[in-house]
Amino acid sequence: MALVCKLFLLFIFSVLTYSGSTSLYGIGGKWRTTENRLTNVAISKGYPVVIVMIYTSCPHACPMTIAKLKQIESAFHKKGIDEINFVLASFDFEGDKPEKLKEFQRAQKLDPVYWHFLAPESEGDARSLAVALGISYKKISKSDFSHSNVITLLDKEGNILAKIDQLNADIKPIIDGLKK
Amino acid sequence: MWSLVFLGKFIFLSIAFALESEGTVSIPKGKIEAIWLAPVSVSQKSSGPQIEVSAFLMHEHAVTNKQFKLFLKKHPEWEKTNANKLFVDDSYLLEFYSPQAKDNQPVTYVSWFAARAFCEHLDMRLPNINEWEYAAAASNSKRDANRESDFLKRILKWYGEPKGESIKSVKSIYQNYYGLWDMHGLIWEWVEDFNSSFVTGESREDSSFNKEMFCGAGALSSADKENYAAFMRFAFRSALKGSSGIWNLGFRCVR
Repeated sequence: MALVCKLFLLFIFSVLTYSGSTSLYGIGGKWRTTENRLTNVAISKGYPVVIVMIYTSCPHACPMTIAKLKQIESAFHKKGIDEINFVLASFDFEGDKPEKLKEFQRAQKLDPVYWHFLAPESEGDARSLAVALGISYKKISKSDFSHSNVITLLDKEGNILAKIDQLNADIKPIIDGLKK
Repeated sequence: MWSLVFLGKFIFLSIAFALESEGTVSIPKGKIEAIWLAPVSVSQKSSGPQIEVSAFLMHEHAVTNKQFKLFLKKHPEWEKTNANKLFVDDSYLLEFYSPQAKDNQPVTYVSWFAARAFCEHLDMRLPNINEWEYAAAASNSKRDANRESDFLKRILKWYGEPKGESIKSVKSIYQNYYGLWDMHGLIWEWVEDFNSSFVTGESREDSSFNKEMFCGAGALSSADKENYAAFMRFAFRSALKGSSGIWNLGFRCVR
């Protein structure tokens, strides 16, 4: 009974929070941090966020994505914006378990205070985030995905401010997307 | 005594399950030539890969306005005025609230996110492309009619029809081999992985989708008319966003 009440309250809360909103954080879904803690894509709510989707067995695009994100980070730092957070959510529900993402993060030397890797709990969780971000993807073999590369800037509440959708695109729309 | 309780529970669960599953049709597992996954070099007379689809249950007809109304009662967060604008566009449920909307018409102008939420509330989900195409390949007499010219002609004829006055009721077009109604000819239907159409092996150059399939000219030059209906569905899906609402786009769920 208590559980039912709790669920009901949670439901009312989510309706109140998200009704008429445009926030990505209304998407729900279950994700895990590199510490295997259950969370969701709103993990950095309260901070401006750059969010992308990746998979770590990816040989080419993902290292390029990381390089692009580092470039974005230093451009923000130059503007005096230090609290920018990065959320990197995986497509790969089978391959990218929390420990694997943690290993990847360590290898890439990305500060866990600002950089958050997320492992989807189910294929559907990955799919719905991709659709919300306008990313197409398809699993083409056991460990390979073909996917579009979209980098999205969110405000503190999860509203989409800017997007770039090619790895060789100028990062300016992202850097200028955040009003200081 | 306990066995009686057990028996009671069993009967109760069976009845509950029967009620829940009402309006679904069971689709047996099977192999099929996936001409929709094709191939495909356009120049070759193509044949798709053989794929295996596991058994599943599917709604016998597209979800209706009436069914959607019941869903909204339980989930008011999906009413037009409440829904998150990232998950529905301005056309969301455009005709649903009008007095002309009939209970037994399929619900349309419904976004992928809303369709998914509906299925979830029944403990179901949207079919993926393979499941949908597998089920839709059946004519009224054959499991796989993807190479039957009459069947394909009818589909293509429907694709060419202009927008009518209003959408017909569910169960008004045809019932296929499995007992599914109107898989073609009534509306287009959402699939879970609609955003995987046209993605090819190259993920570096982003959104570099399969040009051979993407480009209409490529599809047309293909002598293989058998693939053309599938091409059309791919082209349609690839043009969608998760928030899209379209006058003749609805859905049905599977489990």
